Amino acid sequence: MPGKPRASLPLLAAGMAFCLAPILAALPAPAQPAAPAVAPPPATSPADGAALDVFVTEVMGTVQASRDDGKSWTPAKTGLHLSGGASFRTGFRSSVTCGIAPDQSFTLESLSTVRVEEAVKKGGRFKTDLVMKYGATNYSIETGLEEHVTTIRTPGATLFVRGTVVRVTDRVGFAPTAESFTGRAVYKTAHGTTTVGSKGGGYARVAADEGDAAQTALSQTVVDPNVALARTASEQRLIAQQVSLGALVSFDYRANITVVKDSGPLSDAQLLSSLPGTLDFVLRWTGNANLNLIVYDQPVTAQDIAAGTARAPTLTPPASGVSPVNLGQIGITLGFQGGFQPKELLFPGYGLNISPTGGVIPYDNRGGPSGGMEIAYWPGTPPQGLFGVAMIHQSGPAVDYTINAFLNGSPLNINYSNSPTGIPVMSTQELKGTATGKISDGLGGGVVYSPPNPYLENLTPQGNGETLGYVPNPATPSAAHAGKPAKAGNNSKAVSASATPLAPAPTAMPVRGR
Amino acid sequence: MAFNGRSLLIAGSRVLVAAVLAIAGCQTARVADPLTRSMGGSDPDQQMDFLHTLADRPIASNDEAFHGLVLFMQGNDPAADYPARVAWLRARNMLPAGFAESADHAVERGTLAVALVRALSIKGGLTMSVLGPTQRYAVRELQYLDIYPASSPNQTFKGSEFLSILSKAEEYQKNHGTQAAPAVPS
Repeated sequence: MPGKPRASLPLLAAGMAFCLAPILAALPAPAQPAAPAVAPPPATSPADGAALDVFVTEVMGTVQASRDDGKSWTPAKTGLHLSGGASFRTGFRSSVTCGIAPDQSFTLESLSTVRVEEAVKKGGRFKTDLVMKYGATNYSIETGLEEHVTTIRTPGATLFVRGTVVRVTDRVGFAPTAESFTGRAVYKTAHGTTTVGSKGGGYARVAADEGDAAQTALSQTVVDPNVALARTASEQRLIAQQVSLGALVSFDYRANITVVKDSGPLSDAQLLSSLPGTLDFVLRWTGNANLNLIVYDQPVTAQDIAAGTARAPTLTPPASGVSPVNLGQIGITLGFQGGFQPKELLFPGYGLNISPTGGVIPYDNRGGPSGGMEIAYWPGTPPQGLFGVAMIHQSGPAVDYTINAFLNGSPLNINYSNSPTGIPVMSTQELKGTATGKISDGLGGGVVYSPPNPYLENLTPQGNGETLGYVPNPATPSAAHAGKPAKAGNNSKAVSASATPLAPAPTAMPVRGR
Repeated sequence: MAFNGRSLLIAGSRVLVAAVLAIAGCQTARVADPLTRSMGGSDPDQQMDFLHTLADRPIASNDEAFHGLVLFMQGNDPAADYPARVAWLRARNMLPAGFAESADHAVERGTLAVALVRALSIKGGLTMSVLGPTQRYAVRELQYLDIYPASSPNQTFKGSEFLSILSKAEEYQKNHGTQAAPAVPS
């Protein structure tokens, strides 16, 4: 039997990991958005009609408080108790955090002034009205307790809050802004009324001169500085899609690629409806780590087809009734031409994100609290042959990941191993693992036939997609698995929609073990 | 029509009045009673009164802006009066070349921009690197960094705008770690 387990792919993959590690290690880690502090609520809820206690919980720098509408000011100190009508003002590099019983808090930032116009319980609801003359205020409600109606008014805008963490700025000369860290608020400006954030959603920001969160987010994305970096419509759509997930988008001039942070992964259903290419490879992960997608390929040549055709009748079982491209894939896989020798590589950045055959990785997702997603795709006609797909854990804690491949929207099989020896090779439509960042864990990934190769894939047993070190942990279901299952593809093995987290990447990924 | 001496005198006086009005209209605004006279100290209460009273003023003067800038940079103002503040800033190359405006003149955005790019150690682009922080390019650099709104170097500030810009400068400092005031060149 001519086909033997081959080490060329794992060696290549491991080599790439070592070569890229110093470059990748230099990339900046994603910044974490800071949520405002929340004051501890008192043990009992105030009676209906009662004025709410406004108490100072933290003072930094120079802060003054007034009980007489700004006629006289006294230094604000931790523990100071006030009520509706109180005003605060801050100096340089100063802030004051106040609690409003039972479960609200606000932080006034430096060079700002705010008046607690009203803080009462009326009709079973907590009604709070803050008037900020200028500056910036963070406000938060501990959700799930009692109903709140909170208004933060500034000269340029009004924000209605019901259960969220928000930040409002209004500085003369600049457009007022509202940011929602969690939850949904209604923002009213001279341009109209819009919402900022969503229930259960992530970070969103609205600038009064932009109109709404989507416009603000899009205007914050980087316009490429020259024609060579100009984006295609599909790339622009992908970037906008990440922005719609709450991502922050910037451009890394050193790596020469758009950088996305804090987007989180798309669900299966969202992914299937938005695949940008004819051939797509998708890496998704949960948790605050930075993973990178690598795709490498060897297109089938006439020599591969000739070698496969010549040896096909001698195989067990004989390879008959398959296409010439499939014969070429057989020729490469079984080593008739020296094994899998990738001819091009896609990697997010450093000039490797566009391949000679038209493959693209449009952005480098550097993760965030809810994970991330990277995609490599070929628009138009992709090369036909063998594709290696793998991930590198660049930084951050161990996280669960999934890898999918699609041709014309249908899932492709990924051939992988969950054994340190690389044998046996199994097939799945969703490869799952846990990226730990340890070099000893190697790359997580596998080999994909595009177009599908029925002869080789029928010889490969179906696995559950779980790579080395898989440890079930149902307490932390993967967001990437939370969506609907993908539609069935070119064979009966549908994309998994299990809610199981994943395992370390395989150290070896032989192309074929028979 | 005959011209006599009286009509010439009337015409001449009209031209003179028009010229005076035109000149007066082009002059920089002046602040009649700068806050630094009553709130120019460095203790925290006076600082707070100064900053938040300035926010209500229609125009910030040179003296008020420089006092606010020095407070922003080092937390207290060692200068007792306007000439001392100018000297303090000039010693740190924070004023444009040839600056000779009086204390009560409304501060120009270009003047403050030059001081701010020095205070924040902003290097700027190629032009600013080559020419130094001229008023025009300092303003443009601060606009680019979102510390200034869209501005002309000759515009002046409302008190509240001045406070906004100091807030933005503070944010920039937080993000870039340039806390200390520039040293006096040896």
